[in-house]
Amino acid sequence: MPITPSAVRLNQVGFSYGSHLILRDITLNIPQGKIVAIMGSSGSGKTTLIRLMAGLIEAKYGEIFFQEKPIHAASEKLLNQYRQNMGILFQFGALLTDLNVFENVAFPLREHTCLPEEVIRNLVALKLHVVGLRGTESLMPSALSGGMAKRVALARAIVLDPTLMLYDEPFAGLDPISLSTIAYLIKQLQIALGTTTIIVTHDIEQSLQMVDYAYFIANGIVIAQGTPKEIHHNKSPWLKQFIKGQQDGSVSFAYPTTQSLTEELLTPLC
Amino acid sequence: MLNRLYQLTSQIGHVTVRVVWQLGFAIRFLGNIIWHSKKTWTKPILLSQNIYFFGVLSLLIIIVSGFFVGMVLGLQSYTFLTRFGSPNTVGAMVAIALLRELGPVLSALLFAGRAGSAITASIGLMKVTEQFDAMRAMAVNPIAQVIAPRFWAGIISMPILAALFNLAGIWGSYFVGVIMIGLDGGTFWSQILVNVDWYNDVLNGLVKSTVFGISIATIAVLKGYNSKPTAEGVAQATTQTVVMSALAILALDFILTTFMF
Repeated sequence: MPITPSAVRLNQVGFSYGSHLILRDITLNIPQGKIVAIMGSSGSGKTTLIRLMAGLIEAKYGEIFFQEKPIHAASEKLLNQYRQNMGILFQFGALLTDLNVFENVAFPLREHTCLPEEVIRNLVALKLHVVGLRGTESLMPSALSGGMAKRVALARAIVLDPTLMLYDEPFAGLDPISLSTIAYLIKQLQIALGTTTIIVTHDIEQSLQMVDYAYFIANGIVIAQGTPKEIHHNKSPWLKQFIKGQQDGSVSFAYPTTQSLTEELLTPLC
Repeated sequence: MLNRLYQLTSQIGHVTVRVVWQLGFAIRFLGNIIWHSKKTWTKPILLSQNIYFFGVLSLLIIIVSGFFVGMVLGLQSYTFLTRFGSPNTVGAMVAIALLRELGPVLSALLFAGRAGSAITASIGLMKVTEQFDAMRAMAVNPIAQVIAPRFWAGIISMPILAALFNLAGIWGSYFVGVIMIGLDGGTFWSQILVNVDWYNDVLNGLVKSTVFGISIATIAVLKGYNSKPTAEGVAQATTQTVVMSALAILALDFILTTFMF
């Protein structure tokens, strides 16, 4: 069976904020042209993983490769070259507040190409058409709803036709129509452009319908991985609890404390 | 006793290390801004936009304040100078006071409050909304794109605003002296022309306001860039910009005055 070359590869990667270890010995392989989801509960380090892949933060240890080129050892200049082939959709869009919708989408084109104004205008119109927001060119980001801002950010992320798309919580805070539109767009982009797609999310239902492979992260390590079918048949109690959204199980909803609620309530104040 | 001495020494050590570290960081950051300033000059739209936001939009407060300061100075100096029988030198006195001291210092304090805080808040909010990360993800350096244009806009705007403050102040004293009190207009202007020295008064004042501009711009961009990416962090950084800028202006004014006059 032919082996698909990897778009992104992480080898024994660890990351910490100060002394607080977020990720430990993470090993992932994202094949080119596939849609892969990285899932886990809030605060499990999913967004940190995306930032590591884009070289926005440095790993404490381990190796990260983008199309087999090392990101962990790359200079800022080299990273900038790699980033021109990456598109990132941030959780809240991260649109530039000084610029209107048109200028936001045109921003990467103006920075990295010498295209004439007419071509830039046409490209922006095409990308805004893809996300269904043609006619909003003159609006400022403050005039957009959360879902619209996310779609403009998506148009901006794909304007340079990247080979790798990283989505940070693309479905968070969206109404059902916007959610299915974004999901449809992600899938269509992958089919039309062959873009490798990495989705960081905790929306299991939506993502398992569209991904080729999924990784589950908890307590800083990869605890499960596989195709959607394999995930559904996985017997891990953590995974079952996470997929079914059960309160009781190996993952506690409550913050760990040493005293029970009864003890706390019965302890007199002194 | 020995334990308290140990604690005191340790605290002094901590504070010293922190101050030296912050100073070192500020100098490195300033170097970084200058290193990445090429884009500010090759893409003039970045600079002109920021001069508009932080300079032009500060015009109203600067001119109105300058006019009122000039009027108050005119009234006060008229009252005092009449005692010595020289009320006609009101214009010259106000002009020298403004050009040498009050113009650069007061306009810088106003600029720190109006534009310095706005620079810090705008940078801080960009951090909160992940705009710097988005820029880096698009292979764009945020220092070149956001910080350097704001820094240079602050430095360019400050001496111009100080000059306009002085102008408004002199017109304010003209209004009080000539229009309200009835001093002779020709004498008012001729006294200014005779007594104001180009090098000692005008140029030194201009140098002062440029130095204040550099300090306000540095503090404002540094505090914004270093702010915690939370609403509370931005609010704190904005306050710190105003307080630190005011202290820096007054301290630098003393140092510069010592050497200049």
